[in-house]
Amino acid sequence: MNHKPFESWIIEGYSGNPAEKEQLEEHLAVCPQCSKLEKSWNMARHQLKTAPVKKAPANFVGLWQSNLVRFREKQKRKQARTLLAGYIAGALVALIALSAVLLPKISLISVIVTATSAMVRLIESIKQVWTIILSLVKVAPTTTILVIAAMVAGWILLAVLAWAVSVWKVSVKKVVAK
Amino acid sequence: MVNLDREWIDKACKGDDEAFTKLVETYQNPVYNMCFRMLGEAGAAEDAAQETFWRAYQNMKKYDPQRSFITWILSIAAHYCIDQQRKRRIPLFELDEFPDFDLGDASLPTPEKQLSLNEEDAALHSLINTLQPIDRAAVIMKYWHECSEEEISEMLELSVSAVKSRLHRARKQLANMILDKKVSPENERRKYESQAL
Repeated sequence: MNHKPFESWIIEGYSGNPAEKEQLEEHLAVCPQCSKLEKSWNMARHQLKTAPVKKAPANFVGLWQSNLVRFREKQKRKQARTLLAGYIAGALVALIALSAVLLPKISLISVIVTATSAMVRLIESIKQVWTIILSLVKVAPTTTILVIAAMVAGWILLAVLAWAVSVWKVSVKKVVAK
Repeated sequence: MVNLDREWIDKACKGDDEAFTKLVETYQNPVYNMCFRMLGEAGAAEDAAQETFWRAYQNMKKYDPQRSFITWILSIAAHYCIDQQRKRRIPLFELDEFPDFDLGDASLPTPEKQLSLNEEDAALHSLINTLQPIDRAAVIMKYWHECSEEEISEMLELSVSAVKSRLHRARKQLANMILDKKVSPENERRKYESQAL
């Protein structure tokens, strides 16, 4: 049996032509398969049509207003991350481009030699400064050395105090906030 | 009301938060309903509806005033829910690695969530849950929001003939589901019936 047009008429509806309606009714009377389909589709359609529109929770608008602030902050963070990633990528590209231009002209050995000699010069300078300090200490009177030592100790003490006060302030703030 | 909507839409396009909140107030129910019918869970639907409004808020400048606002916002909701459905169906790890866990079908609500739905909602959800996400969105737009096939095609970015064929397939599937449900309890009973009876 050919169900094709009848199946479509059942599911999608027919044009309203009385001849088609008659044909469908005749077919439904003799075809149990299409008759079942018609009944079940009518049931399904009834369920769909009678189901109400679900209402949003009562606090939906209030939630939206608080979410808007959160969404904006999230977007700002995302933009900041994107910007940072852009900067890093840009710096990397610039570095690669720079090395592509410079590397062929400078040999690896010359770079190592330059870096090593710079390091040796730095160590030598530190040693010379240390020697000068030691000789000054030997020449200077005891009172001057004591005054300098007291000043250095005072600065260290002040720095430690400032650090302790800042730590205390931060901890007090957090406790108040809680 | 329409003129008032237009005024709020115009203001919202210019970045007026208060006007956009009015739009949220006006369209919260259709958007929530679309999300609820697509996802079948109140919590997920609420999150999806909020996300829909956030996406609309971000794209207000791209909104074409010639287009109906409800069509536009439902289209955002439908696409978001379709994405969510697809994500739910993608397993995060191989099931064989965790043989002791009964993960079930992630697209179906858990028993706890199922309890929160009333009986009618649960029956309807189990019925439309069998449809593919795009077909489901088309059915929801057609039967709850009374959208025309042209509007559905615009919202789902499909051709009108594709919408027609999807709706036909979905309707047939729903009818067959009802048919199976009507038949299956009898079959179940027959399994335990005595041969003599």
